[in-house]
Amino acid sequence: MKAIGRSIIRLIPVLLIVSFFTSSYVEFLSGDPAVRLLGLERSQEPGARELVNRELRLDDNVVVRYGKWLGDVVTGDLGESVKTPGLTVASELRSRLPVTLEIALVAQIVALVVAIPLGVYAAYRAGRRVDRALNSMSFAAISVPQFLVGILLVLILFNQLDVLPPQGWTRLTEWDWWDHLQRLIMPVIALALTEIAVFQRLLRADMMATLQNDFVLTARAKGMSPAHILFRHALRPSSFSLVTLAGVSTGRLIGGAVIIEVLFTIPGVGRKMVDSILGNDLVMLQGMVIVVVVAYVLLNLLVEITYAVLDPRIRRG
Amino acid sequence: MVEVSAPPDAPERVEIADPEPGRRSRSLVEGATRSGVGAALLLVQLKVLYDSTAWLQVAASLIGFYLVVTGLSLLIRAMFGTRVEPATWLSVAWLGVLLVFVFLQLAGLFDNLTADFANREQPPQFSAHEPLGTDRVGKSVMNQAIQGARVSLVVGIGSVGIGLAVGTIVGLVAGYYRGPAEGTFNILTDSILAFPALILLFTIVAIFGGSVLVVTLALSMLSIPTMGRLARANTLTFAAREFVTAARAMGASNGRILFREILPNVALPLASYAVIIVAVVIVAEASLSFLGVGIDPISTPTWGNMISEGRQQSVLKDAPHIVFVPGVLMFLTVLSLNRVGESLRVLWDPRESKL
Repeated sequence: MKAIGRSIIRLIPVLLIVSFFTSSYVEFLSGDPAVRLLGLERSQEPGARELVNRELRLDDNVVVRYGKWLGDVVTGDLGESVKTPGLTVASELRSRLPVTLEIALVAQIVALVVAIPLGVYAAYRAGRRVDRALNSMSFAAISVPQFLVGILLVLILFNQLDVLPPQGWTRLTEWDWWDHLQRLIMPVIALALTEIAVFQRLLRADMMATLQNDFVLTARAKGMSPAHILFRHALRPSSFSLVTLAGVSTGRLIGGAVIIEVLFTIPGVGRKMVDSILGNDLVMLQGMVIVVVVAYVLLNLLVEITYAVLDPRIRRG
Repeated sequence: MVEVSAPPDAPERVEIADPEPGRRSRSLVEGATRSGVGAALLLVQLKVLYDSTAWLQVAASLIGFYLVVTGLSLLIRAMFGTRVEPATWLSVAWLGVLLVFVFLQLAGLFDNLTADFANREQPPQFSAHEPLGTDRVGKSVMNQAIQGARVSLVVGIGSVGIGLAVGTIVGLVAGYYRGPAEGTFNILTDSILAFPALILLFTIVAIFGGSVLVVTLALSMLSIPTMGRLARANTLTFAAREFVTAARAMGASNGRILFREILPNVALPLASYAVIIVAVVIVAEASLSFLGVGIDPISTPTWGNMISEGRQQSVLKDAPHIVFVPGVLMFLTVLSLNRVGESLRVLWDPRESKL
């Protein structure tokens, strides 16, 4: 418990530094911020310059500006887009975060469902033909860049077989479940492939260590079936690092699904961040980044706590 | 923060008893046949199947690739015995080939990047002077791919080199002196790594422009904390060892202990991780280009640029080789770097070795 308290205290400076750097982004822009943000024409409109100055707080220096921004964020006001007046960061997040979360979570679940049996079986048959084949395949899968998997999927499943739409997204609220599912498949495969490989390798290594234990030998001597021993006895003590990794990488996927969101034109958080950088929409970028980072950091903390609950050795330490 | 190390999966060396002579020649023959058939399949799929369906092509390439690799592995096993890890040596060989091409390119070969609009989107063909075909404006895909290899290697090795140098020193100091130095170090590395990596890179490159130098420095921003954390973790274990206590008892200064006693022990495991991080960095650089920032596609072709250019539906449909040539090169390079790094880690990282 003391360790958890310590890591909560460690989080605070991390969050402060990250948010400070995000909010100092405007300092690096060269030229007139109003022109950079709105373009030459719109920056001449009456009130435009005032809006930019107000939203970015350009009249203050970096530190004061950061303090005010932080005060707003803590009280729940993430600001308003400078490019599209009236579009608040909070409303964008409300519509985009569920999309990103859905893809990330589905990809993680698919990855776990595929990787756990593969990892267990590979450990059970360590050194045999199937294990070696799985080993080479997972090694190859780790080395394929995500966007290449995505392009390959589009080429085969859309251009050749024409069974899935190449890009786009249907919101769940449109109630077109079938279309929604179809558009989910390719992004999820592209995201899950690497995860499957990493999870499988990790579980295999841990499982092999567990299988050396005496209790496994005892269970075998009692005549239990291999499947029972593997899944009911050995899986749980072997899954600690897997749980950690799955948690951490879910956190990473929330901000890290950028490539997939751009490739499949999915209206998620990652794509909005990219668009905001390209369009110099600073307030939007700040708001998105801070939410993603906070989510990531808190998820890490959650994983740490779960881990301590699962494994008594850490709780005591 | 939860630290997760790469999954420990040292390839168990399956020690096969000395193969008898007959078996050796048999595996020589089988290896030669397999790699021959595989290579033939790869050539055929490029030449004949080009107009046919993509999934057939992909399947043919995969089978061809599998046959070539397993065949060559058999050959290596048969010639050098079971102590050699064939996959590792194949990887080293691939990286060597890549380096040779990069040096040839530096010497002035494969330099021609003139657009030839009449011959655009030519598929790969072996008789013509453009063996790997041409892109949307008729530039040579082969020349672009070789120049892209140079950029990828320069960016990858450069940024990881910076990361290794700075990260090692910072991590050594943090892990040895502990106290406030370590606290600051932890907070800073945590902060950098808490950012979504690609967004951090994207922001830096968007502000400072996409030159090779900026991209290299931006990527080293990511490799410094990674290498630093590893250096710190390794230093912690070594600083507690007896030989450090002994050195201190003999009156060695802190600087001497750090650089003469601890550094040599920390350096090799770090170097083996650095090889793997080069692979990560190469993918990150390509991802930046893919997203449309990154290194300027007109003056400097890179693998990521080429893939990004070829991915539009209109191009992908008619000329998939624009994506596949750089894609396959990148895959092989990343695979080789991972393989070599993994083998070096088994060799150099004492924590993983089975004593």
